[in-house]
Amino acid sequence: MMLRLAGLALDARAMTCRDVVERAQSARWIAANALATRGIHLAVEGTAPRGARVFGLRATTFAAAIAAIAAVPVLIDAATLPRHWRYLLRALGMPVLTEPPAAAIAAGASVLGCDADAPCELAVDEGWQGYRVRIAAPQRMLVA
Amino acid sequence: MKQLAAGPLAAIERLVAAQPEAASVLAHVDDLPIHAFRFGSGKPVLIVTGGVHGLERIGSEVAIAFLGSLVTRLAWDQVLHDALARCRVVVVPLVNPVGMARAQRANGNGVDLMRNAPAHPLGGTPLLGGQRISPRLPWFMGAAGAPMETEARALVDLVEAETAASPFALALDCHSGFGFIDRLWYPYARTREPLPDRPAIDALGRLLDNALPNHVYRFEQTAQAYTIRGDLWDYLYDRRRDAGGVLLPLTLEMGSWAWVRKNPLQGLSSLGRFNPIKPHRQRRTLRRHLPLFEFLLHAAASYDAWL
Repeated sequence: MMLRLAGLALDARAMTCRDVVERAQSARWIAANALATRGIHLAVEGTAPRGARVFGLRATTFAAAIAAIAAVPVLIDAATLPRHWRYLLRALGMPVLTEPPAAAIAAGASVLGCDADAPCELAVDEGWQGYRVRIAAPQRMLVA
Repeated sequence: MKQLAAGPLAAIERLVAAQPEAASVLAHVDDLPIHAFRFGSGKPVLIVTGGVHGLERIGSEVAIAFLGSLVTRLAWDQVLHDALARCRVVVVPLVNPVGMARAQRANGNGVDLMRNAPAHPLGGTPLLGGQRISPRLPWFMGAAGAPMETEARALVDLVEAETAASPFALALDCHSGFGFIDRLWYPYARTREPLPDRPAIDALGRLLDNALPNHVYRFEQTAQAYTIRGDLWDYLYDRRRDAGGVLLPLTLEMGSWAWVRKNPLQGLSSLGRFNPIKPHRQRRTLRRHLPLFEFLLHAAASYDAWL
């Protein structure tokens, strides 16, 4: 498995995308491949709202955060994450947010961060088969 | 040039002479023909291809061995006739005759045919997974925006025509190279994410384990080894799925490193790195995979019983 993760990290570094939307799609590809490399199943509940926006991350482990990134193309705001998660993301070659969140959103890419006030959230639950990511948009949150 | 491809082409032309009504020519590349053979009348179809990479001569020879077995058994084997009444078999034993003639992986234009499909923007191990730098380097995908190569186009057109009216299709593409063991690879090649037809692939894997216990194959997704951009079978799988059909393409990757380990001197030649050189090892390889072909023929013919 470590060899496969190393191969994935190599693939990830070969993706030299500059456009923020392409980087968000690359991040989703890398995260989905990281889960697949470990044989982790991912189930997504709900659909992402149209347009770029800020998502709040509700995850307790690094693997759960990867599951959230695999669910929706987003650029992760690494500054809001624990330090050791940032190192792991870097080791994996994951593209992260390098510009102000507002600029990324204006360019069409959604942003994911550990922001408690974000109107939309990606909540990750761990099940016996893998991870379940719930996409909670404002309307759904009001109903809840 | 024709003489350089003499082994496989001569064997194919003998089979054309034996079964002219089953044979057709898909295209000519530099005067060399790409032959296809069709048998049977059923709706499900099994497609067998070989020789996509010119260096991997054994892939073509394994496909020809299966084809030869079919042609000779047609004269007496009623069980085979019954199977062919339920399904069709299409064999393209040599997709890249120019590559085979020149003993090179790519086709005459230096394009790796297995990386020549319109590429998905994501995925692809650097260099090995496909590159657009130069046809002088291996794994060249073709120039960006260029049409598919004649050989790749011929294969894609054939597979799409044969699967268009078919509720179920299996494909086996014979290669050699990567690793010490024989592998059966299924899509995707561009990503390690599971393919949408994962339950069908799992069912086929279980069927293989039960029907051929102690078989020699590792059944895994292509991308678990490395990721490839522009993989022809990814492209065909996606297109067939978009059209509402089921195509399960498998790649037989014969582990040629085992042959080199047994006979290290053959590693000094380009053909030796991809093919068994000793005659007894070649014969062993040709008979080793016949049960797999038979299994796939039966799996295609009886797909509704297990899918």
